[in-house]
Amino acid sequence: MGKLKREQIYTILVLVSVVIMWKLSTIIFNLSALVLPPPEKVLSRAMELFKSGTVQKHLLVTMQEILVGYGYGAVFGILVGYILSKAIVLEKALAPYILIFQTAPKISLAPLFVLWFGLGMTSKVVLIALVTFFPIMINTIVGVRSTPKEYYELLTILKATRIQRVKVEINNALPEMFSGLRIALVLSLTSAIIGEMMGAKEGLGVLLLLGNEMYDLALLFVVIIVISLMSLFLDVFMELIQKKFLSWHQLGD
Amino acid sequence: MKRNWRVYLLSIGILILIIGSWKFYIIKYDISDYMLPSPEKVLFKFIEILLDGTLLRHSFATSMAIILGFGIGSGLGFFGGNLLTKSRSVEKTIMPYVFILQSTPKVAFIPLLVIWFGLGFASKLILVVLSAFFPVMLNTLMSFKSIDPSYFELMNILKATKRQIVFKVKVPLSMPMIFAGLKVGMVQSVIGAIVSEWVSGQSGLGYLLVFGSTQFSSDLLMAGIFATTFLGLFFYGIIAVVENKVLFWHRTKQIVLEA
Amino acid sequence: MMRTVMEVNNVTKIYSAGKKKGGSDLLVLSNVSFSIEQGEFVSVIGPSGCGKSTLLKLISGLIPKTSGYVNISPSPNNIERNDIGFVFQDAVLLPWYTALENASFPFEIMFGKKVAKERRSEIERLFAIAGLTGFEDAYPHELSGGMKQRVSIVRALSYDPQVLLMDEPFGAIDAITRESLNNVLLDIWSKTGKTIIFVTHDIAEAIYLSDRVIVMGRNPGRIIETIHIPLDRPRNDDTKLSNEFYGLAKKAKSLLELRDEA
Ligand SMILES: Nc1ncnc2c1ncn2[C@@H]1O[C@H](COP(=O)(O)OP(=O)(O)OP(=O)(O)O)[C@@H](O)[C@H]1O
Ligand SMILES: [Mg+2]
Repeated sequence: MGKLKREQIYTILVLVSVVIMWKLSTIIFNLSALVLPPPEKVLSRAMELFKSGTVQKHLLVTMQEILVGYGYGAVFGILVGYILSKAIVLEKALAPYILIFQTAPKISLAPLFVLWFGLGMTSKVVLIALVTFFPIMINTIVGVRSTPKEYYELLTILKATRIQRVKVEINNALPEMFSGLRIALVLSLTSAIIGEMMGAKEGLGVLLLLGNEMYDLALLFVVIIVISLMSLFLDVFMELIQKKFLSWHQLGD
Repeated sequence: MKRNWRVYLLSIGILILIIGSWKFYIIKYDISDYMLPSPEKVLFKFIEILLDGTLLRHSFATSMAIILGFGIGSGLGFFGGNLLTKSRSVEKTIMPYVFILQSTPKVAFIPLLVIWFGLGFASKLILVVLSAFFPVMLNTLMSFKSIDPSYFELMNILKATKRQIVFKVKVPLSMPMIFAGLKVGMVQSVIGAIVSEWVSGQSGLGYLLVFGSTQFSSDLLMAGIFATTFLGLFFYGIIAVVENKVLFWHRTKQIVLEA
Repeated sequence: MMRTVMEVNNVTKIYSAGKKKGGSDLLVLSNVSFSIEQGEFVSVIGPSGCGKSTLLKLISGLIPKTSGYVNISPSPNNIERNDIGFVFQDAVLLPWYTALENASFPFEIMFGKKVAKERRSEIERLFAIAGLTGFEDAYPHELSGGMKQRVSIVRALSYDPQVLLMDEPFGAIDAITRESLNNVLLDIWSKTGKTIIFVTHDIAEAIYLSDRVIVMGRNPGRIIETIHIPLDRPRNDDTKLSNEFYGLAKKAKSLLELRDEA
């Protein structure tokens, strides 16, 4: 390819013109850095923050929280989801609570978790695990339940073992499960930041609050951009895994 | 969904079990009120703030931000999505930014908004608008684009006007996906409002939570958590009810997939 | 005495590839001409991609012609503003409307909801012919695929168009339902006296239904031959077992295969 498409050039032009307008408005309206820092100030602040390793340090903490919390959420979500997809009565009995929990703003629990688990990573990990658990669990239930009746009949005829059955069910549920996993991954970043803003010593959320307290807008800009790129990275990463796992699915459909 | 009495019993049993073990845990390990207040204390606190008007006042503050912000945000989202379907090249040009912005946690903007718009209602409102805008806009755009072109051909054969095409076919056919976007947007709006109140708090349920935790009164904190749960359920319920009425012809999986 | 209702004259369609992509233009239809008499049932068969759908869209004015013209003589009792009825492969029903409301949707578009309601009896008469009586108030999701397609046929006929264009209307329907739908369609046709152009992939279906079968070839899309179908009417299952039917099918098949090799 090599050559950019027309729209891609426009996309870049939009960015360039936004930066130019940003710069111009700081000059024309003579805005102080407390209202809107000029682009080059944000850039130099970014360099400074990266050179000193500040951003990396906090980014790493947030990443770690996400990885661990999301890991727990995914493992328990899939496990519980699979069990509930089989235990129909139990699932029905739990249905009202599941509904309440799904719609409830679970991030309200953040202060409570800080109280219980302290200002360290644990409180964030628990919050992320809780938030990511639900979409993954629900999509697993939906996915496993969608296994066609004929599959079971075939498996019975073939005298398939228990493990083979589960394999077929999981394979069938994969597309649904992945969409749950993807939603959960985006949510995990939101919860990490919220948890850190509620109470933490390190993490991008802490950096945001710091920027707020010090009126350091350049810092805020840098952190927001870092968070944006991180969310983009997580989403693209997940999409790639999904594509790899589900290559058969596109063909089958 | 018909549930028989056995399931109801089991449902209630599970609730009693949870509350029972909560209470038991406190007695057995002698947990302080500060770490975990007993269920009845939380209940009394809830009733207390309900009766003295505290809860109502704060719920009202949060609700105002949600209603206004969600209304503006979803309205703009609908228009934005509609506008983007008008031109392929405009869509392609700005889509990368839309994708980045929509997956960026909106709460990250709170500190910035507080500096720009102060600690009051305005910054909270803007955050809720942002929270509702993106899911509604994206779903509107996607649903318009996924309409079977035969519907437009049918309308052309019938020599329908532009208005008729939009209001008799395009918008109604998109409703299921738009409602899905509205639900996601609503869940995000509630979260946005609450977190906004933590940071910029002067009133609202988010403020109540922070107040509870800084005053070391965990019963207030937990009563507040339950209040936010009810609030979330209430606003989500409104959309679900409207959806049920409007989309009687569309059988959805009644499942929420957001926080 | 026959009256020509439609004349397709030297119609050519070129899809231009667009300036950006740099591809060459695509000649989809080349000099297609035929005419159709009042009340005639004409089928169009041809390999995939030979331009059958394009032809119907050109006739109905959904897409512009590159050259040539299509003449449709206005209906003698021309009260509606529309000469074309179109039935798509999918029923394209509005899921929030009942079967009857869907069928009277053209009236709603042309004259408003009030008129649509007033003309209920006309639609009900068509429902009876299409075997839909009793399903007036059913919603699309309560109807089978075949039923939905009947509703869409009634919708296309509701405003009494001169010509009914059907683009593989039973293509997505199972073989057994399809046979009964063919008979329903013939019944509707004989009772309403409509002129029909019917696109299909199915040679037997084309012969069973039609007075004439237009066989098309591709690269570029064009008419290879028109086969007259002199089979007696009314037709039934025995028709399909006759030697005459078999001979016609064989002929159509050989025409299609011949072109595929070329
Ligand atoms: N909008 C378009 N732009 C460019 N090419 C098109 C367009 N629509 C159709 N074509 C091309 O025109 C040719 C004829 O298409 P058309 O859909 O009319 O074929 P068809 O005979 O109806 O095929 P089928 O039996 O599969 O329905 C095809 O090669 C197709 O790729
Ligand atoms: Mg076609």
